[in-house]
Amino acid sequence: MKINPDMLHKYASGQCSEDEKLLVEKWLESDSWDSIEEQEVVAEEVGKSIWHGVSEQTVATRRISWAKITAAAAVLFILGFSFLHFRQETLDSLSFANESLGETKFFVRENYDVLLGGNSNVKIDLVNNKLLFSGDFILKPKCDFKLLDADQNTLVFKAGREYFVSDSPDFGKIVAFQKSDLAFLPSSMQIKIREQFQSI
Amino acid sequence: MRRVVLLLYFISIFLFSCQQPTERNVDPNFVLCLFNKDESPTSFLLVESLDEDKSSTAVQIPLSTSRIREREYIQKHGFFYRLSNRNNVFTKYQIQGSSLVLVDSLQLNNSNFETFSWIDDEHLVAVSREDVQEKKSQARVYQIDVKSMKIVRQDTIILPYATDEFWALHVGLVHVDKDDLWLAYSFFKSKGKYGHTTSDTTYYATLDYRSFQLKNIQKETRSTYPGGFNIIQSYSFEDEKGDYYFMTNPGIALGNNIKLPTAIFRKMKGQSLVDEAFMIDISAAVGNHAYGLWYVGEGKAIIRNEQKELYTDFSNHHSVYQFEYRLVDLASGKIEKIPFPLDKGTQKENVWSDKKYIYAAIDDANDDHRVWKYNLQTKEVTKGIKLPSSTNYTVRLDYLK
Repeated sequence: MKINPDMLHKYASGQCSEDEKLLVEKWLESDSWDSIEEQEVVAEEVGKSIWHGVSEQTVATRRISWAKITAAAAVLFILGFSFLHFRQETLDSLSFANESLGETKFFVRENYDVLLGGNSNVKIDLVNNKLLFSGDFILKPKCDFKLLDADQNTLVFKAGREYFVSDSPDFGKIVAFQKSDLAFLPSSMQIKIREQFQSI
Repeated sequence: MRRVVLLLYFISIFLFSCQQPTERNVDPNFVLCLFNKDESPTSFLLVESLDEDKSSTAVQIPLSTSRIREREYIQKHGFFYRLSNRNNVFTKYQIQGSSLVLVDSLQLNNSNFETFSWIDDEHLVAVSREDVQEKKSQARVYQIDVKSMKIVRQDTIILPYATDEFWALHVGLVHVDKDDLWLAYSFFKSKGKYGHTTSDTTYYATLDYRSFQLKNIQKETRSTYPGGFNIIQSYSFEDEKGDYYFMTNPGIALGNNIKLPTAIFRKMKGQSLVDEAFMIDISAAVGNHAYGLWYVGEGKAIIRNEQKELYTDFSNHHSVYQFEYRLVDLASGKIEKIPFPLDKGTQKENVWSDKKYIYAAIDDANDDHRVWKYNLQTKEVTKGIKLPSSTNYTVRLDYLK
């Protein structure tokens, strides 16, 4: 079975079978650099959608389609309103520990997922917005929040992103790098982070 | 997170599915690799021209979402080569229309190239470091015919001078001159959990390329770290005469032995040894370390230097607007600042020259992402094309032809 746009549509809308879900997740986690098997179909759509954004930047004289912008804004407003209306936030204060030296531990919670590095512990207090930890962890927030670390620095976490958080003196201070920022670190640092957190 | 990205992606496709593109037949001359805001996928922006005044067509291609290594590719004449660190497969891609398509692949034994160079348009020489066995530092050299995607020759080389303290090898540069295979390397050690530092010496090894026999080793103690992961940024070039120039990078972002200077060295055409009389001490001249070396013709090269008073440590080296561009006269050693806006982003491959202008893709403090031009004759700086406002970092600018 190969990955195709239909399957990704189904995955995005939660309609995949377990087998398909596994296959898509494997594809997403793989080191594949090209896009989807059915290049033409996706390329067509991608080209169309991206063209709009790019041409606004590069071609000076293009008319703005207010009808489409209004439609898009309306859809986004309804989506946003639904999120705010139906979401019931329960703020909590939780502690996690991983005493093993090398292996990571994964915790799934309501407001975030935590992948805790070896010999690390963390207390995430969403009630008082405080973060106490030692070691390293990957944080995947499911909602936006800000936490004050032990050095009284405010760390901002946004839903849907991945953060590498570490108090290693090798970085100079407590760091919460977004996944993309890790690409700017020296290669040996990147390799060591990848060795510890395979999923990054 | 990927689900959210996918959802946003499909929503965007839905919203704009009625949009009729007016000009889709882009014949791109350049590709820019963009790290985008809000963790949206890395993308390629294909453009015909870098000049602002030409109404150039452009198209953007999103890549996959695991972008920590997405700028680590080798580009030559419109083909993109990449080595997977998960399955050691060396792949060849090509842009077809607005897609990046897998053309061919080749199984190798190593997961990372440390450095590479081109013998000619079809022959790539790439070097990986191999696991240390019996404390010997090994490098694996591959010559790959990229047209047929076949390994022409390969061998493992043991490179001497590792010590108990500095035992880990970084091969920074590889260069083939007639029958000589020349490598520049250094040794590093881990510091703490994630840190590292490089020893005070650079080594140059010359081998007989037919037999892979070591001919000689030259030591350089005036600077260190000739690179060790030079896939991302350019650090060497051959001038019109065939003389080979290269730069060492002991700054925080690479070698991390900051007491030694960033410097440019030279190996003359036909010589097995590096010219010991030649050294341009960049750090002494500009008071900072630099990364990246691009030849722009007529004995001049561009460097991209950090500013130590503007960044604090690894936490913000990439995100502060600190990088300056300077023009180095290789004959006199004179260094001249180019008045481009300050740039951000550690180790970017973002400079190209047609020998008349220097083009640099810069992400400035006004959140303006743009190609800037420098006229080598008049020394005038002008604006080139503006890049999409969704851009966060413009990490590469490659000429495709």
